[in-house]
Amino acid sequence: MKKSYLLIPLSMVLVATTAISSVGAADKSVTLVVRHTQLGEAKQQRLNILNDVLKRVSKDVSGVNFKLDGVDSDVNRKEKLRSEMATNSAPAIFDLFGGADTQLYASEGKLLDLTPILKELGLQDKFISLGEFTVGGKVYGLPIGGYQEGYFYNKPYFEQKKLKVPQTLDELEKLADVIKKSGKTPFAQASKQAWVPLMTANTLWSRYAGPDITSGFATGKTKWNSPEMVAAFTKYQDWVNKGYFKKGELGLEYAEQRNQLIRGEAIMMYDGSWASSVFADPKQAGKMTNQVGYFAMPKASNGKGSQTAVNGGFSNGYGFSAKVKKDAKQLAAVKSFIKNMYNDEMQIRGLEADGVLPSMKVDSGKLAKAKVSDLVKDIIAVGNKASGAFPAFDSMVQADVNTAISEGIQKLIGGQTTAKKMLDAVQKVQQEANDNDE
Amino acid sequence: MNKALRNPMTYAFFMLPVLVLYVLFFIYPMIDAFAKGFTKWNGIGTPTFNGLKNFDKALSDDNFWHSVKNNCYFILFSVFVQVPIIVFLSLLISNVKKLKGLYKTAVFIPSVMSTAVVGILWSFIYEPDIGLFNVILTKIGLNPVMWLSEPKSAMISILITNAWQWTGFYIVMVLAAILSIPREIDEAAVIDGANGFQRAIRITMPLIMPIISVVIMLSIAGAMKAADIVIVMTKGGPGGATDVMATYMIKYGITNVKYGYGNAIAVLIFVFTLILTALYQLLIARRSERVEY
Repeated sequence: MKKSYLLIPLSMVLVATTAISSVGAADKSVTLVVRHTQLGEAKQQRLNILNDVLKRVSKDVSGVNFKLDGVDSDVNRKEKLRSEMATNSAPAIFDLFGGADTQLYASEGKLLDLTPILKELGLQDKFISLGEFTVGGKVYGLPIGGYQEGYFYNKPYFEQKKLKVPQTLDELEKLADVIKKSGKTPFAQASKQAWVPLMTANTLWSRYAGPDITSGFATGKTKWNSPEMVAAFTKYQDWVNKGYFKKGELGLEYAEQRNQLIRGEAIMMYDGSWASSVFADPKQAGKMTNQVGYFAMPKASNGKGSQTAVNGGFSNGYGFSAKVKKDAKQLAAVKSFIKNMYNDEMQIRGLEADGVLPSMKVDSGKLAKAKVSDLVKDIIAVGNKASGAFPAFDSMVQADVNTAISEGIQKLIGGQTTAKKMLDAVQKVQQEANDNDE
Repeated sequence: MNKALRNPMTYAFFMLPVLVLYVLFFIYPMIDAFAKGFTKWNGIGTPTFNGLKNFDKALSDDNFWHSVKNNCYFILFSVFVQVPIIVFLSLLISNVKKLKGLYKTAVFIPSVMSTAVVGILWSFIYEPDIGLFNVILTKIGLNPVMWLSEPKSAMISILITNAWQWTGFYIVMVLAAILSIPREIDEAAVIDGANGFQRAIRITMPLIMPIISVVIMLSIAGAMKAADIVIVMTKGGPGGATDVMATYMIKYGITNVKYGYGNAIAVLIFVFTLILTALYQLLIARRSERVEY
């Protein structure tokens, strides 16, 4: 009898706690990790936009919290995200590159298929191009903005020395000679991370060998060590030998590149449109605020293919873990994130605050009213004049080839190899990668 | 209580948590790395067995051997430059009469700093224009050196930084050994007319050889797994000039999405380290016998 007296209240407590905990579970909040690459002063505006979007998502979907995880873009792309994909521990929302990265993760079922979400939100035709994030007809990522690469230059210096924007590579070289003779560095560059000098090289080889050559490397249709490619890299090494870049730039971080231009030490800088916001911010650009102009890499005499095409595209944005679809609340949060991040308001805000070119077809009236700097207007004008755009090579070749050319360009700058030798080595890696893919 | 302690199961029970952690975080990953080293695997999909291909590729890759060579530089620098400096500074500090604690703390501080901080700090010192070294060089009329940009100077720059970070840690170890030598031995040598240098060479050095042997052993093990300082300072560049085996593994395994190959490199690092430490133990360490006072 005594035992039963004890058992009844115990059972009641057990039932009550189970009931309370299951009610609690229904209301349980979830925390989503958001991996972003908006680190440092130069990317503060982009971080503000992300924070505002996350606040809106928290209002839309109750019980959702976010944990921001900021990582350097190169580290995230080449090491951290790859390891996380391997261990199935990628964050719910993360910075993603289109092309080879998206293809790899999508083919292994690690990315959330966004096609039905875009349809549901009415966004399926709103993007200028989703090509780099599309695999097998399905969309796995959304570009946050567009980019374009070209030469930023010190406008007061050009005016003072009566220099003109070059129309050919020969004129660019003459310009560089004049600048060099005046004691300045013609081109700002910081090549500790190899993708920085490869921006110049990518467009240079597209001028010499045509913009379409890059897409043929992975299929075996074109070769890295073709005569035009060798000519392009020989020209690059020639520029290094002539002292067009700062001595010792191989050991300098990317941010140091723009500092060379800001300090007036260098006069031109090949970089992406994402760098434009720095030159509109007095805190970062100092005396060079709104004093920087922009032009495309000029045409090569006897160059192949389109000579006005620019290196540009929509390759960087956000991707989402496939695991998200297992949890209704997480999926709702992702849908809300897409709705709040990808709209006219945020695209205009990105353009105005940060000079990020829209990745969406923004209402032309709103776009015309956008308050943008003269530099951003220059960049848009160069894009409008271009005959087309070609994506960066690293979205079109295998990771091993990217590593090989990255090592190669640094060796070329360091004078440890020749253009022909370096490209022969890259072609060998390309051939192996192509054979492996079969 | 006594009964419990007499039961071997009690000891096994206390050891169990550590054993589980050891198996989970060391034995299992090691066996898994061995198994995956023989596969073609992108890290995400299913690994497929490819025999000895990964090992064959690594052993015939010049870049891999270059990274092995850089690991050897780490070892040689530790043994022939760092250890003599450690012993010299330890002897100096042991003979200091005042503020010995301050000196010990001062030399120990770099080893408690994170490698990232040390790497960034020294990157400023090596900066081509405003770095301390080049400012001094230009002031005395010499040409500035592109410390981290030139393949030849980049490796030595990293070695100096690494040595700076860890010298203090080893000094404290050697200092403890020196201070534990009975004072009577030293006093007897003084009475016999031995000067400071003779006492250091003939008395102190032989008595601290076992600890120096441990320092060398730790330096070898540290050199074989060096990676963080290289990643922070040069990322293995310029052009792979400062890659060590671990950064080679990250670059060609993780960055290139070839995890099977990366695992094979991990196995090679393990085997090389095993061989080196075994050789050191057999040929050198055993000779420095335990000291009895």
